[in-house]
Amino acid sequence: MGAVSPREARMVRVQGEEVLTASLTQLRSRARETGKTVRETAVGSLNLGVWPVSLSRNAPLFTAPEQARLLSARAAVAGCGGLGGFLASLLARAGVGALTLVDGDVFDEGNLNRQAFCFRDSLGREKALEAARACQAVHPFTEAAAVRTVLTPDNALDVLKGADIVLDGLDSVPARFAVHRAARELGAPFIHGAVLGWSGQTATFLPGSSIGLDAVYPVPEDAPDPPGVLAPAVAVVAALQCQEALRILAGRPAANADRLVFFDGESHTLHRMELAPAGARS
Amino acid sequence: MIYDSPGSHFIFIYHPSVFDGQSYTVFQGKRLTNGEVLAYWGKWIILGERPWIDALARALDPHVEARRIPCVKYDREPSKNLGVEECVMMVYCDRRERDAVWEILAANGARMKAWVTERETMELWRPGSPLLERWMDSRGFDETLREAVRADAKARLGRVFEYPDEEFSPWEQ
Repeated sequence: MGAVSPREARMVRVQGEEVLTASLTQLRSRARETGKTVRETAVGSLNLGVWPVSLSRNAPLFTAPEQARLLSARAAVAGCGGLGGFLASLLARAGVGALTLVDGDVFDEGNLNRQAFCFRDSLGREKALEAARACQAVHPFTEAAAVRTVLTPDNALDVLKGADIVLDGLDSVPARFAVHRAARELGAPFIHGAVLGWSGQTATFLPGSSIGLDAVYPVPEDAPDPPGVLAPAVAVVAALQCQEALRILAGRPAANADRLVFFDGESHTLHRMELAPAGARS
Repeated sequence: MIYDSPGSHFIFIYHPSVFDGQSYTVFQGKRLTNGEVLAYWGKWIILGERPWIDALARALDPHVEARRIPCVKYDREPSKNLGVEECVMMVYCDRRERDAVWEILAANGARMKAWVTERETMELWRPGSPLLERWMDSRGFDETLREAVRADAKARLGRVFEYPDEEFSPWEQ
């Protein structure tokens, strides 16, 4: 069996709860014995109630079967710059098993103030590749695919296929529309995120909803003069998007479907509003 | 890690260390020489429709991470200019490890067992070879460009044959 059984597991206490855990060495060794991957072995173990040690602090916030679902899932992150970099990092740390990380750009000095995977020695390097490498360096069972392309209406469906959820880390409104359309066609939830200066917003669009991105952006065009972007605002929005993605991938109801959450970074307040279909507005 | 750069005809699966300059042409931890590559290096050839090949790539990715498979490369679209109707996946390894690699492929649905040595491939693409000439025909290269391609092939491939003791250096595609 491609799993570490409860009899082989070690009991530890996490926040007062007893949790059965398997070490990385145990998981790797069982994977080798059974010809399974470490990810498959970790999923098999979770289904028996045994947590990889590196994810044991997620218990009891998720049940073991929920964590197994996260580990079996593929999330696509569109854009690997500001929002996308934080998104990829948070998803990987939480134990989402497979990531498709898409960006056609390379890091430049202007990214250093806010992009999680941009360092002085990574200037000029591909954002998607750097994000994938960093995510794979967290847990041994994370599988990251780096796609070096700019998402367009022509390629979005092809690039995002296989994703169970799509997260918006883009900085262009037309590209967001293309990605949202592709997510709908794939039957995958789409979690929008955007940052403006000190503030930002997120909204969740489930497949089949009559409400779309045009409820947020009546005109699918970029603002002519985008304002500056601050790292803390980026991190807050990415965290909200990621929490929502984790809920959905774990099989829980979305917290924010068809709603826009606006984070005002100057007053530290969150505003949540219902979205209406674009045609229904007065 | 699956590495997909749409500017390239190929999609690759590499171990992340390759991006730090480590070679994937290794056997038991030792980097192969040109002579060893010609003697031992090769690939299992898998043919299939792109969606199946994509799914296979995702299944093989963890095995590349675990260094059970050195490297994988596959077509973004069939090379119809070379008369191939399906996407081709090449699963590279040393001949001395090919049975273990085949077991992984078979466990993931591969059935046609076709092994091609790197020596054969290099010979097919050497200057003056019919495959190289046919490929240049299909791309509509003029004679100046053809000469440049032949010179490049001679420089890259010739070195492998002429300096057997030198460490093998793969090239970008």
